[in-house]
Amino acid sequence: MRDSLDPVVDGVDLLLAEMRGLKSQGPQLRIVHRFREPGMVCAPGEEIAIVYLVYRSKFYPLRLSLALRMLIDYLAKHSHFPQSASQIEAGMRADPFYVKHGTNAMLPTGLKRRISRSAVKEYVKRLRLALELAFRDVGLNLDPRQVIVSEPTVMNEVGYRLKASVEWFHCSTQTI
Amino acid sequence: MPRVLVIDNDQAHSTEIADRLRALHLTVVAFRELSTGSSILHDELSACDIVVVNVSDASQPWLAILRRLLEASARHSSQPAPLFLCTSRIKRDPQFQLELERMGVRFVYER
Repeated sequence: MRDSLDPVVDGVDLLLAEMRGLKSQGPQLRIVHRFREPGMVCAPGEEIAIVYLVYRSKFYPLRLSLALRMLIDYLAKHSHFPQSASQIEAGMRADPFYVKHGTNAMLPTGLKRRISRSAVKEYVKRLRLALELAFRDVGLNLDPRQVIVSEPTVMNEVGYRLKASVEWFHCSTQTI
Repeated sequence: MPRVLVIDNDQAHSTEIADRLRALHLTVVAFRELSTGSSILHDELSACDIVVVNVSDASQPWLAILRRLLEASARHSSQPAPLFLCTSRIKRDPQFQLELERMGVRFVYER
């Protein structure tokens, strides 16, 4: 038989589930790719159009420039191990998805950015700032350094890793 | 074991909530003091996972109190800050609930 305090107990149960999810997987992000060619997913030529923080079934866009969208997409695709700035640069230069980023849009100016090793540290700071602003907007009291994690090595090199639950969403047309 | 902080100036009600939550194998600390300047409360906010606040007393400026509690609970460590749940036995206006939602605080009515 249910009593008047059951909604409180149910509410605490729900928050515990949320807390466990945040601790184990980090926040939920949705990365939207557009200019997809029919039948292709995450193929070279697509554009990383927008990145959302998804919290309690609502979508909050992260305020990211093109270079930051590319970097967070790369970190999301390689979240199983930390990478140094040099590894990130090398990985992005070797991946046709980033080399040909946005070419399906047929823009004469293109939608490409080259992420250099020296810029990665600054870009990571800005990614954390964008996450912090989004967390503040949604009322999520989470430290962005727990999401873009810096992992030291035994030398002075630092590896970066994204701790988040990420899903990719693809659009065939220019619309989102 | 997850730690729950119950902030409730109604002692009997607070005890009842604490008993229910302890039955779920949660560590519960009850607090009647609302002053966020209190170092004991500050320490508890830093240590807990969930904060339950009884906002049934409409004479209190709950939104301001909750903002201060949220600020006090903000951490820069490897652990996420606690999540908040407000509970009320009296009807609150929708604007109040919307403000709570904007702060990321969940809200429930006791029946």
